[in-house]
Amino acid sequence: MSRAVVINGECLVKVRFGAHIEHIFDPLGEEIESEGVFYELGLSEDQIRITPRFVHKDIRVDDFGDEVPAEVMAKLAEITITMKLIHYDPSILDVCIAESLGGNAILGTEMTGAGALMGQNVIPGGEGNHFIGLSLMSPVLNKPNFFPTSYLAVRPVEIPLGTERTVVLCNWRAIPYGRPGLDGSEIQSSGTRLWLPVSSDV
Amino acid sequence: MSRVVYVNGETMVYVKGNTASPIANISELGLAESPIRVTLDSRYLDVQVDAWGGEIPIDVQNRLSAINVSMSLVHFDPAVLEACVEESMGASTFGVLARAGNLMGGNAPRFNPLNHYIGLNLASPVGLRPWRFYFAYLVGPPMDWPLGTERSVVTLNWRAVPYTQDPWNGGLGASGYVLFDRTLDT
Repeated sequence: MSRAVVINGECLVKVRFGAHIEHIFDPLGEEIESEGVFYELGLSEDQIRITPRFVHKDIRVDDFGDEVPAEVMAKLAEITITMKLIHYDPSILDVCIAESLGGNAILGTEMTGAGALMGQNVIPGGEGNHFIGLSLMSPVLNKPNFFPTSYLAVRPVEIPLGTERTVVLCNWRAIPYGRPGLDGSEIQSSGTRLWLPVSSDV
Repeated sequence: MSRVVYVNGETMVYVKGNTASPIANISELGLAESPIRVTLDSRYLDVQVDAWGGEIPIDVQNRLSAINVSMSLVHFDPAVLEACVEESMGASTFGVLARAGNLMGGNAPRFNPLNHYIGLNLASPVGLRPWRFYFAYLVGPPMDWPLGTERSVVTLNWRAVPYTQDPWNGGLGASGYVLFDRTLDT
């Protein structure tokens, strides 16, 4: 029998930035080590939630009446990932916020120009691409989740400050980033990667 | 036959704090007036399935444990007791508060000056089954010290928790974590 109570296990969150992020330092000036191209962001206070939003469009035919479709078009999807970070690296979170702002060089002080593209027509993880690769570990279930192009969005973070431990609420959005082909061909949605059952695409 | 009437024996309480504390070396705290009580506080989470009625679980998840230790000290070292109170307040001086919100473990290893947890040891000269709780502190209410012409019997309530600097532990989480063992601190 393959059915069982499913337990993901301790879900460590790791992030990958574009190649333009070469070094990250903590407030004491010590460089933060990465594991390959990934940095450890942290652990959540409770369960991390993955909520996809599938987009469909009905195709109506008068013969079928005007409320129930005869066919439905699948029009891609996006994913929301929410987490409450409690044991995390604040310096890595700062970079996540800066990149999600379009590559803000100095967090909160120098904004990237309005309208700047997050992907910059660069491959995920490439130099100039500000999307973040978000990886959720799965040590018990061995079914990790990787979102190659994500960013902190809408109400991206909520940071409580006081004498209690800070639990940061993070809202991520993952999209199927598309870019023109190397041969100059148009952007195509077919084959774009949104959500992978691996820990990395490297 | 391995069954016996179990007698722990004269249970001396030893404590050991961080290297900057007055109890940096293993110290005798004292002897209790009545049995010292070790209470396991284990937490579980029921797994409910509608097919099973939704009220009785099909399985239960283990959610780790803490330990509560209560004692009424009648023959004790007041200076050592004060050191325990001081460390349990996360402070470095008896009667002086630490910053509100200060982490007891200080994200530091055992016996580091930033780590205010206390090693709580209970001897077992007859039963030969001593207890060592690695990360303990006085808690709710931590101490009740009656003052008067009668001998003071001080009630203490300890709590030992599975403190760690890294809950991820390389993907193992709490697996293999030693909450208590049978080897006294030295």
